[in-house]
Amino acid sequence: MTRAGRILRSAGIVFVFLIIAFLGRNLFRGERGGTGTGQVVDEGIGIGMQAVTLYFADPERADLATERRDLIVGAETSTLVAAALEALARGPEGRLARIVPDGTRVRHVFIDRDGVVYADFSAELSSGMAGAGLSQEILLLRSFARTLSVNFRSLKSLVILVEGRTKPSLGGRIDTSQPLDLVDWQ
Amino acid sequence: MRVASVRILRFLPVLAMSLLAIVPVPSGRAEEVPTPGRARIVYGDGRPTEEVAILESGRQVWFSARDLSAIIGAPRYWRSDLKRLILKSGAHQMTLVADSDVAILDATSPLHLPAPVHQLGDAIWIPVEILLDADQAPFGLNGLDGASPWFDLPIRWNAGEHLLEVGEPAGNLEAIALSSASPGRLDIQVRGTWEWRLAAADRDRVVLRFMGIAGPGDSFRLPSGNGLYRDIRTTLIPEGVEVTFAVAANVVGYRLQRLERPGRLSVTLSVDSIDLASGRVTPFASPLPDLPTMEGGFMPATGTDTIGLDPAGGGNERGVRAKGVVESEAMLELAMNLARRLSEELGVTVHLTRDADRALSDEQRAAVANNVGAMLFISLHYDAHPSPSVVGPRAVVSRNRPGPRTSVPGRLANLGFTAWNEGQREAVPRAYQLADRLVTELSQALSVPSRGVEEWPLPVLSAATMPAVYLEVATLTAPGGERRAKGEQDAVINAIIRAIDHYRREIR
Repeated sequence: MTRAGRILRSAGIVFVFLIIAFLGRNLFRGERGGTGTGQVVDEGIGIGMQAVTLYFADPERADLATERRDLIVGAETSTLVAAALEALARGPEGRLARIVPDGTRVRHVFIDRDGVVYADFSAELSSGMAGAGLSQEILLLRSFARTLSVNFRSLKSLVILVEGRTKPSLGGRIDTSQPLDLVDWQ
Repeated sequence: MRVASVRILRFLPVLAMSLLAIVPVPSGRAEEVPTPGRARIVYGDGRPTEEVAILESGRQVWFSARDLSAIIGAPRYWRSDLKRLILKSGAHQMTLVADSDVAILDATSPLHLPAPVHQLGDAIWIPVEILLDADQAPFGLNGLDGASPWFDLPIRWNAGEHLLEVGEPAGNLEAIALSSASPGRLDIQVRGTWEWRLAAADRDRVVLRFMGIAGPGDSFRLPSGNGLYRDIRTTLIPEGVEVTFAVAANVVGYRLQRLERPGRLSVTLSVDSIDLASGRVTPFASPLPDLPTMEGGFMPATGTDTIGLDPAGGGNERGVRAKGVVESEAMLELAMNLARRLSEELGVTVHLTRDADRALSDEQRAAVANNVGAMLFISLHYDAHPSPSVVGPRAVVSRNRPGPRTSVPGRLANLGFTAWNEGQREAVPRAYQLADRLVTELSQALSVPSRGVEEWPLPVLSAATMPAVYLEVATLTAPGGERRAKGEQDAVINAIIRAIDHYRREIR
């Protein structure tokens, strides 16, 4: 290949890359805009919008407090549950405090016919709890349990997975190897 | 033709093996019918000897599965993740099915037995060899992490005397000897597994307690004393043997060293104030040396005045870190000082789950308290909270799963096993009593509001079989949290001692 040919090939690769980046940026803009403004958007990502109540830590009351959020969702409950857990992981938008460790992602959510939610998180959910006290572990589990039970009445219990596996404990103090009863953890 | 013959010859052994597999071959001996007999179980930890029924046939002996619990202390170690124990009458094998990698009974494929399992009436009889493997698989009580020494339980079968010896036999006080070369030195020699504690250090009466030993042996001779040691005596006490002596008025300090080969406690008295100034000896008025802790072996239950203390974290588990304080380090220091003061002021025996920076699982922590027969168990912690308004001490007791006890599956249902994680079933009311007293005393001592007593499912508590409390002495993230952690340790210790003292008087 001549020198001019190599330059043309490189330019072509850069051009294709720029187009992909541009499309991706617009795609994520649409998703973000829909979450906060209440617009119904359909870009092949979500098919509707639902208001959910999320529970974060209240720095003033030493307890959980609520924040309402409109989430773009798919047709199945599992996508709405995943969206609610992702919203918890992204943290509050107002004065409340984050409970789920920073950087945590929801990898997958599965709900069985008995109302057991299997929520698979990224490793940050566990690694971010190092150095946490019992209160932080309790707040985290109550935040999950209350968010799920208030918004999804048919759900019974939650199995927390980290990178696809159960963990004996997220912060070393509370047993998370067994399903958490959503009523018990209110 | 020759090639064909060679091929046939090659296949002959295979043919022969196949025929052997098809044609039944008589075993040559019939299984003998076992006859009933009696045997005694002798416990090394001093529990009363038990007489149990056995079956015998020649040199082979079977124990009833009903006695399994009494022999290996299984109720304390049973885990609910063991699903089934399959014992087929007449079969030379046993299958244990568990679904956890930390199950104590962790074999998942059939184990071959030297004799068949028998079923007579509703009782199942198992070959004694199963028990003899108790320090290995399948009943290895050391299965929690594969290397832990906490659960070693040697079992020996003495066929001649029909004795099943469970645990290390109790040691003896072998000798007390004054050194002829050094008049300040006294060696107290002990055989077997033992622990010791300095119960009093007064010039008129120094009291050394040797726990887990039976008493002076046959050849024991008590020395009469010398210019420094007077009135040397030995007394049998429920925990073991007490050695007492008085020391001369010119003695300024003492040093105690545990030495091995032979196992002995070496006492050195000094009349030289240089030894005192250099720290080589401890003055009689100074704090007691560190208490011994359970480092291994099967420990006897030591009665109602035994307390289990669990410093949080250890190893890689450093716990809450805030304002320059690390929970695992601070709790170890607090627990060691608290243990010393409890022993000194309330006269109780304290067992720490750890006395160094090492990792322990929650199961191991609870197991230490269970093994030593503690009357109460306190796991010591700090808390951290996103809200700075959270300040005071908090206590947590176990939240029991609602409903009936976990049923023990399969044929072991009638053996009296309890699920490992249900140790707090009956203990929670008492735990509440203790927890409430602890947070009340701490709150008053530190002049901060109490956060009260809560119930949460904590594994460190749920496997303990005595009243167990998870105690957060302070919240590090609160304003002044580091002051309460570092500067007010004495106040915290005083408050905990008062609470325990009050609790003990309440339950008596």
